[in-house]
Amino acid sequence: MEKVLTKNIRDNREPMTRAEYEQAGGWEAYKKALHEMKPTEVADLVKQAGLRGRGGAGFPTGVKWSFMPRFEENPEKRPAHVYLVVNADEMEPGTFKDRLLMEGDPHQLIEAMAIASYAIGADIAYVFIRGEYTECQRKLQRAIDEAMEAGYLGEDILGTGFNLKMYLHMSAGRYICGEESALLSALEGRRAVPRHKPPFPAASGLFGQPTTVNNVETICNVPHIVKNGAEWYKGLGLHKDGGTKIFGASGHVARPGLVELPLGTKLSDLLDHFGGIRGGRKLKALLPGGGSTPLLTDEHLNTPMDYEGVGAVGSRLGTGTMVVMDDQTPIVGVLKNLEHFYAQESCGWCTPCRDGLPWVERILTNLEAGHGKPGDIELLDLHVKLLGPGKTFCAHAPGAMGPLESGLKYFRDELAALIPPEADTLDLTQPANAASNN
Amino acid sequence: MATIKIDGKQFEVDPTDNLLKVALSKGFDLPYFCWHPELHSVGACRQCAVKQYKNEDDTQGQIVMACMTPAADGGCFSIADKEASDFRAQVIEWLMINHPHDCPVCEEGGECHLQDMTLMTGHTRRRYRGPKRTHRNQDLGPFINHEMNRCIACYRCVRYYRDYADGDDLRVLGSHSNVYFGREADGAFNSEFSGNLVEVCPTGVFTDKTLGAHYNRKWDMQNAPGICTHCSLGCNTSPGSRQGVLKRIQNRFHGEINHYFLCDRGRFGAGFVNREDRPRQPLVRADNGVLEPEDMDVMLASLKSVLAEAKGLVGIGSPRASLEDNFALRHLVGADNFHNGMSAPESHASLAALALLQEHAGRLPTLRDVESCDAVFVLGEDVTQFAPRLALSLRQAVRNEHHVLAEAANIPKWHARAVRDEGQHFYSPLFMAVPAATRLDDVATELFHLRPARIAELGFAVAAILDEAAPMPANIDEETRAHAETIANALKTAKKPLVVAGTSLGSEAVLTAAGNVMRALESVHDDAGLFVTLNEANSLGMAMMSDRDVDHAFEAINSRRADTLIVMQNDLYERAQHGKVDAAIKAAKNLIVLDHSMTATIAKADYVLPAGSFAEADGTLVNNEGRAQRFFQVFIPEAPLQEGWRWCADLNRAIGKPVDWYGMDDLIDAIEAECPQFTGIKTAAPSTSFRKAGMRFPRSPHRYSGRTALYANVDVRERRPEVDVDSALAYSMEGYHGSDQPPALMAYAWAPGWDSNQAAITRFQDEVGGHLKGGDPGTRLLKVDANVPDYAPAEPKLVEGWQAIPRYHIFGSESQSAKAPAIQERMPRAWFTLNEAGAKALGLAAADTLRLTIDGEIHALPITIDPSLPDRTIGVPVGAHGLMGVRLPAAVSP
Repeated sequence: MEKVLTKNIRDNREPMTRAEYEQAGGWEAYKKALHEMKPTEVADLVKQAGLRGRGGAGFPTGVKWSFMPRFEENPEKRPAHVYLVVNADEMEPGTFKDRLLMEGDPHQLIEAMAIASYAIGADIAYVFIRGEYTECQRKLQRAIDEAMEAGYLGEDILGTGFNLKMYLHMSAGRYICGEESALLSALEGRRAVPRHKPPFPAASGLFGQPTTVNNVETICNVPHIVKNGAEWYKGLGLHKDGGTKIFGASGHVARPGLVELPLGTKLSDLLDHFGGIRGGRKLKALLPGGGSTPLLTDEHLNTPMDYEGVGAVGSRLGTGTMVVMDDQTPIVGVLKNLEHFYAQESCGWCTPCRDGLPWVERILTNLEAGHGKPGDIELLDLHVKLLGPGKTFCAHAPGAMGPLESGLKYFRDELAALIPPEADTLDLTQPANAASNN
Repeated sequence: MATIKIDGKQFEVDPTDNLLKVALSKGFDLPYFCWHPELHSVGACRQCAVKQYKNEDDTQGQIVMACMTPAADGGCFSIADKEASDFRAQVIEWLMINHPHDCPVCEEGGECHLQDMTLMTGHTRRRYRGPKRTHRNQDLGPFINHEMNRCIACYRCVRYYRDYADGDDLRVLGSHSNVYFGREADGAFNSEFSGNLVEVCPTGVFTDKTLGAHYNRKWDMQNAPGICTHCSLGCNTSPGSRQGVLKRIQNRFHGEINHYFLCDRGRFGAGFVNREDRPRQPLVRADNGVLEPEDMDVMLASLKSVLAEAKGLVGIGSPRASLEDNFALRHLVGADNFHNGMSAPESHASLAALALLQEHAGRLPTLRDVESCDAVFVLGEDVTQFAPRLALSLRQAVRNEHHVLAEAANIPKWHARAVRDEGQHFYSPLFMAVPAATRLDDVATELFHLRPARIAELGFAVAAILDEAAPMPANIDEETRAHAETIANALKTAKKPLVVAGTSLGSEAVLTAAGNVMRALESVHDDAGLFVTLNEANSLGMAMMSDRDVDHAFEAINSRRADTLIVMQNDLYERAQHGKVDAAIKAAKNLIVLDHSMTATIAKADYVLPAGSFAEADGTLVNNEGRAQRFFQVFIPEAPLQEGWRWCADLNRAIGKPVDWYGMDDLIDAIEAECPQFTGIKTAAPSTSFRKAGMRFPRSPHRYSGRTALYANVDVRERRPEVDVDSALAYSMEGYHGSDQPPALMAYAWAPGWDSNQAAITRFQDEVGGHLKGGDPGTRLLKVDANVPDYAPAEPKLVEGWQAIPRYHIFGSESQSAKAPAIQERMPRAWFTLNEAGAKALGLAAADTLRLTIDGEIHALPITIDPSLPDRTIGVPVGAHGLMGVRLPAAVSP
């Protein structure tokens, strides 16, 4: 199949120089956009291509761009700055795809950001990059410098009057920085606490100005769409969503790693790309796209891996990088590990997340240690219900409940069996306020 | 207006409000933590969850947070819904996972919002099995105790301290279930408004250390409606006492003045009331020169002969005492022999301030109004040190720009976080022409560090630019003109411009200039406002009562027109140079002092009568906006300590000229009859005979315990509560309690289910955070004068040589609070301040001692460098921590 995002990436991941990148057709899409297209046309093209966010939520990128206020008609109303922020925080458990793109082909990201900035009218673009990704930082900075030298960034770019500055920002760490509004808070130098929406970043984003936040992989698709058109892009997919995807696998597969495949590739085929389950064992469960996507099991092997396909079986494609567990893996340990991560990475802002997740972790720890009591499973059910969307401030806790809910669905008996028979029978399942008249 | 439905009932509401505010205003019991009427919504605690329905047919609904939901037209909500109320109970269970449940030993118990909310949701049973996380506490100085284990992470403290009060040393540290609200290291809070954390915190993390030192429960306190006596703003307080000990000062909501917040001087400055060294007996100077206690009757008998033999009486009143105490002295000595108790410069400035206020009586915004002013020009006042609560209001004023930007971005005004994110560092203009750096500089648009006369010059120039008819000062330099143009332009283009001036610099020229600015601004603007600050709680009242200052009193003594000096609650050494006071006291045959605290004047007195402080007396104070406000006796002091005015009445009787004031009502009638300028003070609070349903109004909450046991060591029979002959309040928990209680007689705030001060008050407000039902108390005395005042000539008297100017400090510059132990711990060292060039010119380095002669008296203090001071200017610390009785500004030759 045709490689799109990774076609320039060498085996040793040594990135191309600017000259090599240009040789390979690089910066052509940018020139085409700048010289031949209006910003709105670029945005419309991306919308037509049906590109969806690769950071996990799968929100249509073109639609997100269309929320940005336009100032072409009335430039006097243009605010001091309009921002593009690329989310390169990549903190999702089991996810390492953006790193490959940044280390292997930094110019692609820079070009993509430049085109996206043009499309949304941004004059400043930030890459908010995971603190540990020092290699990416080094390579991206070199690519930015080269792009500056070549006049692709700066003032009056290629004589079109378009201005763009680009900065790298190294994250100080925390999973929540991957949440776009918490990322903006962190980028402003404040605590990484998410913001309530509305207002959306397009209305009031970074430093209160119109802002679009896109994932690295998402935005890397943009030059290819501009170059080859929306129809070509849609045609890349095998199922309902268009384009290719960098899929990955870690855990109990024979050959963990990354591979670019069309969206809609069947799960079983995908697993084959990673050499199948390690040691000839059977699949027990997998997280299809990061720690916050509900588990899939061996009954889902025929699922077409795109947003629609995975959504139809009750999970989410997420980042498309799987964590695979074989049949020897106790599910309680999987869940406890995940909930420990989410409890620890809660920003501490809202009550259900801050205080509910450690409780969930405590129950799972008790279950694993054989200290479970009747009612514990029901308490987990309760948290799945009460840490759901709308009840918490942001999507962190609902995300944490994804694998737990599916774990309770597929492996309820295994979990219940962990409660020792001699455990006392005090009924702890009554709601908290049962004793009052309220 | 919008129509919404809550639990099937229909309400007309303001669609720009959020549902939580609306529900609370309509009387619903909907629990909440992170929301606060002044801090607005952030949606953190998830406690105010309700059901929202798409329409009347929707039975499913969806859980939403009331604080983050607009009360939009057609909204359909349920608070009682089972799923919503279960969720609210669950939120409490989560919050309680790590809470120590130490209510029995927690200072917050009984007025704890967390206790109230827990009861309200009905959460009773704990299901979490596991250890609780614990924290180390910090030493936060003499005001506030820290007990982090009780924290439920509602973020109110940091939102108040950082976002509202602009403090920077309280922060949220850590993350997830281990967030920590504290400082980077132990130490007292930097903010002058830290005490509000005690009330903002919904549980016992931040508690009042001065209360903790002699703790008792809220329900065991006897309270009274109080007025803060530590500056001229007249913030309303609720002092609490037990068994004759003043326990604490709490905020008392006043919708036009302090609303929810006090400054630390007001909250922690009342400790002087409990001092051991207070005179509590009549004292008479014995032959050996020592003040000896004397029986009241014997004392009155000897004073009878002293007064009978006196060759003329001179009365010196006090701007820190009530109108009643001052008037009673005035009556005793005769109006012509009464003096207002202020130093000459203070008195001149206060009289100038009074004239200014009278000229613009129709344009005097309240402290609350200040918060909505969108361009401010401060002339001379270091407000944080001089009238602290005003600084907090000005901090809100500069944020009006945030609201403008938010409105343009369709962000609702209650969406606190989004408003800040949108507003960022864009502030409404605040220009400050002050002698040196202040604690408000961080939000100022531009600072002009000038000496008093140059501040006046700038003011005159602003006026002249605003209105051509206003005189322009002669020989003004280009820089000053440019500054004046910037300021004039900002004031002119604002929606609600404000001019702030006051008496702190002792400069009439500054006040005159402020008058010209105001007059000019009024000619181009309909909504201009003037805010004037004065030195003390009753400075304006005293300026209204008498224009004679202490110098006139000394002159009467020194010229032998009179030989007996009677001083009411005043320390003369604060009012004039040491030598001058000594000479006057020496010249006087008798010095009689009525006061509540030990002073240098008492140390020289022949006779001392122990007068009640604000806690032991009723009285009326006139604040900086001319509002007469009544404070009430918190507890009955042990005889013979009594109100200053009662001592005066006793003395009148002793000399055979009895007065017919038997209670406050009579006295107030007499004041209104004799001093028509005070007409209206009677209406500042209901009279003694006022009753509701035949009942008085309680000083203590109904759970007040131990009434029968409190004095069991004296008498096992239950004491009959004392009858208050001076007010309609009762010395008991019995009486009328209800939301239609007259606000001036609300000794404390409590409502069923709402025990914490800041939440209970909701039930007494017309809408949450609005005004008190029945009107915010007090009577504004200044009458609007339709005459447009003439411009004053623009003739600031510029001083070329060295000049000494007063520098104030919130802790120290006010003499009563400076006697409170907690405040004393925070008083700064005394320094003369001058700039680098000045120090160099004098051949001094930092910490060297400067000997400065002011008015013929030498004062020696170490110096410290303040680069913000103008050249040849020496800042003199005035107050208990520095110098007292120096007349500033003064030309000096160091």
